[in-house]
Amino acid sequence: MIRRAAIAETLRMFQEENLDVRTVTLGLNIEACSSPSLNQLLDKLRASILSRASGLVQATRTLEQRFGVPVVNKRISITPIASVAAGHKRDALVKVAEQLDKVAGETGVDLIGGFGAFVQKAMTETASELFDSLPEAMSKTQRVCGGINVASTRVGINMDAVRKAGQTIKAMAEADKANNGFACAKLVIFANMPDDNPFMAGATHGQGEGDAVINIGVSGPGVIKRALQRLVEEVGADNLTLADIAEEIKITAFRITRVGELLGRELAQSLNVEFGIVDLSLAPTPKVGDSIGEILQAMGILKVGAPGSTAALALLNDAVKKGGAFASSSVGGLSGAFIPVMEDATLAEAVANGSLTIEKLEAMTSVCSVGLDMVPIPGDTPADTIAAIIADEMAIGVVNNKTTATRLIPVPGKKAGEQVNFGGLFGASSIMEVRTINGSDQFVKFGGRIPAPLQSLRN
Amino acid sequence: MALQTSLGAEAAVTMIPLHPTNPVLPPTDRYILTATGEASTQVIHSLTALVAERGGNFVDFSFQNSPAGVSFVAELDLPIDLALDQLQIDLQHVGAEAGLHVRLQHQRLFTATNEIAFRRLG
Repeated sequence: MIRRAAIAETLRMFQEENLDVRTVTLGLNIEACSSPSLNQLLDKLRASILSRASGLVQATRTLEQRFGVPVVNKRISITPIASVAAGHKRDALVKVAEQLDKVAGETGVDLIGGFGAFVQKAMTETASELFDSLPEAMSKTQRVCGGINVASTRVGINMDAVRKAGQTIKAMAEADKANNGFACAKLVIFANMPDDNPFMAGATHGQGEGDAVINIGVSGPGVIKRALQRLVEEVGADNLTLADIAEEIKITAFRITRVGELLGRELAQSLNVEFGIVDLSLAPTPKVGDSIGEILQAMGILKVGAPGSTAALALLNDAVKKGGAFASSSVGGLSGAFIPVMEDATLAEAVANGSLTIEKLEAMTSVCSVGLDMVPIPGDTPADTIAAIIADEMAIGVVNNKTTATRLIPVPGKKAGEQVNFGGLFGASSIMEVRTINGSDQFVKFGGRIPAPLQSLRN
Repeated sequence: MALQTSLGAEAAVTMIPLHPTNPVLPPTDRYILTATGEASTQVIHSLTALVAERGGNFVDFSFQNSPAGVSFVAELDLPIDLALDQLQIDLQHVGAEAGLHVRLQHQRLFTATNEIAFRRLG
């Protein structure tokens, strides 16, 4: 029999520490749906997705029952729409978004990602039309999400795309004014966007992926926080070093990742598709006890954003990767610790009490995944200032050869310090102050491409 | 033949070939049943009876009674075609009446989270 203590430890992760599998994401290649006829494109999309994804939700529920492991979200990611719908204009792309929303609803999944494009070097005409469609497409639909890659270590930063992203985000917020600009929570701007990310809003089924694949995103901040608290209680803070803390995180990350690996393998088998990757990212929720900020507090950072926060986060991120990589046959996606302000109650609290500023948050994103995520900013922040914030985050990713991203939400009519609440997993927060507005407009207006850094020359 | 010779003509011996019959057991999956909570009487009997009634077979179990409450951990085989969801509901119902939190989970979950080699998960 498995050791009784081992059974108890596994049970505790689920019963007391909020462990779940955050998402099972079925990646689908839909390139074959391309058609110059809009009606044919819409019909093909529907047939292609329904034929392969209609069993996803039920198969996942069966596994939830068998293993007693909650799976919070069931999702679909698809080939970037800018390539599938090449040649179509803005209005047609809005129709495509509506069709995806409808089909996703029919399959029962929570979200569908891939309404995006890769424009890191240059923008195709369709990608430009896709940008223009986003305000209407994202405010009219419930389940559709998008990710746009505007930069990579290999080619640099497409500043024309960055500027367009700033303008588009501003327009999206205005188009969805009634919902405090919630549409912006469904768009991620990336540097070095991964092809197999299972997490929304940036999930995309990228180039080089197969016809259909199951990718898993785990969770588990609560489990790691409790493991560290127990370690301190049992051994005593005076008898511990940061190496001990890193070791504890590693061991715990191993166990969390194994849950994802098990679910992924079983689900892929039952759906008769390939098992892709486990994304090791620690994904918090607004629930108390399920927060990255609380892990930092357990590591001795009393106020998130205080000096030492970046170093603590770097240790956490590294230990999670080491433990997780050993637990899974194939690690991918974003694989790091997320610090989404609105989705993490402790981070949101740190914003409210002034200890966490957007500048410190940006510094922290240089050592973890993924970037300035779910950051509400004043509604009157100019488009070019939004673009400049994006450019900074992209530069961190490009120079450090890692994925970074932004999910900025200019909340219409609201100022720094006011509250915004999207509810559910999207959470709530005070609006973060953006300083030195318009201080970099000329830099953004130059446009063109920031050349690839020297580290891109690796051959 | 030696026996027939010694018994004489009035005796007959019929040779019946022996085909050992292995009982055909239905295919099963291994699960871990756990029950934790306040100490109470009769509940273990109720849980085990319920499992037995659905064709389950206990292969190991342990029970601990401490000031913090009781903890029952059992390993059991269940027919693969069993209505698992219904058994889980019924077990939880029986447990809840006695103030116990009951869970029935596939063994592979515990192996996966506690053993290094994934290939041993079966």
